[in-house]
Amino acid sequence: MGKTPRNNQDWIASLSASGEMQESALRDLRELLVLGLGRTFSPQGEAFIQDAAQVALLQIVKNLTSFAGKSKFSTWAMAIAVRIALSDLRKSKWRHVSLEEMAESRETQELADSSAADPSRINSQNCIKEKLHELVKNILTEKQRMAILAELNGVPLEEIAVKQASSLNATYKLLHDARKRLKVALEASSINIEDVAHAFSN
Amino acid sequence: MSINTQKKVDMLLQMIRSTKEEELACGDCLPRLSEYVESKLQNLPLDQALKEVEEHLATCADCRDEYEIIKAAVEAIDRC
Repeated sequence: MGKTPRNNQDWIASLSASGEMQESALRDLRELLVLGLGRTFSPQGEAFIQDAAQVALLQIVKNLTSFAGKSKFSTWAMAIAVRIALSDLRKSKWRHVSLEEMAESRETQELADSSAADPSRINSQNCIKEKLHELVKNILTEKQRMAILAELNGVPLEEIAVKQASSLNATYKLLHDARKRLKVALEASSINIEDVAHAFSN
Repeated sequence: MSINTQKKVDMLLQMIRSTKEEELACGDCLPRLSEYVESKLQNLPLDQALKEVEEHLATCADCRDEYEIIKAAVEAIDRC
């Protein structure tokens, strides 16, 4: 495994070369990527890991000039491989799920055990919940509302972005704007965010 | 479609509570993860750019997952 120790310059030089020097570097890098990916993605199977490593190798070699040297080359390469594997995994999970399905509530509403809890606290919690519902429904755009509901259901932002025909950054900014609007609106309705946190703390 | 469970209310409130006026977006955080991973593994002080990464990871579960996976992968290969 990685029989030839390489520093950053060695990796760049070997991968930029041709012939056996490049082949050797590609083999060693592939071994590293497979080992690293296996740490998390072994449940997905060997084929998944090998495919991700192969796609990553191509991308790494294609983008060698973008390596800025701010980390070890192997770390930078591993980050690329993880991005590819994780993105692939998320795509396959959410590919056939519509945005509406992503935003749907799957869990049943939990009812507070009022016999055990402080009634005034329960009342406070219910008021805040109602306020949140109202704000999400009335002050966010439809796109923001769907995205935030999907996010609360654990849908990755990159998958929300795909369904909304947007980019990851644009989706993040959409949700950031939504959160800012909700924060301002909550504060304008005389609800102190810290009091809210206290009302919901265990 | 609604926010109908305690868990979701808690999540949304936490998200709102931790919202800052300016935030690093995921697309700007991800390219810096390799540098961030190494800084954390080596206990190095973080520069301003990496502090922004850390702030983003505190609130973004997707990027935090990716960071943990990269870190685990790097630890695995460093053991070789």
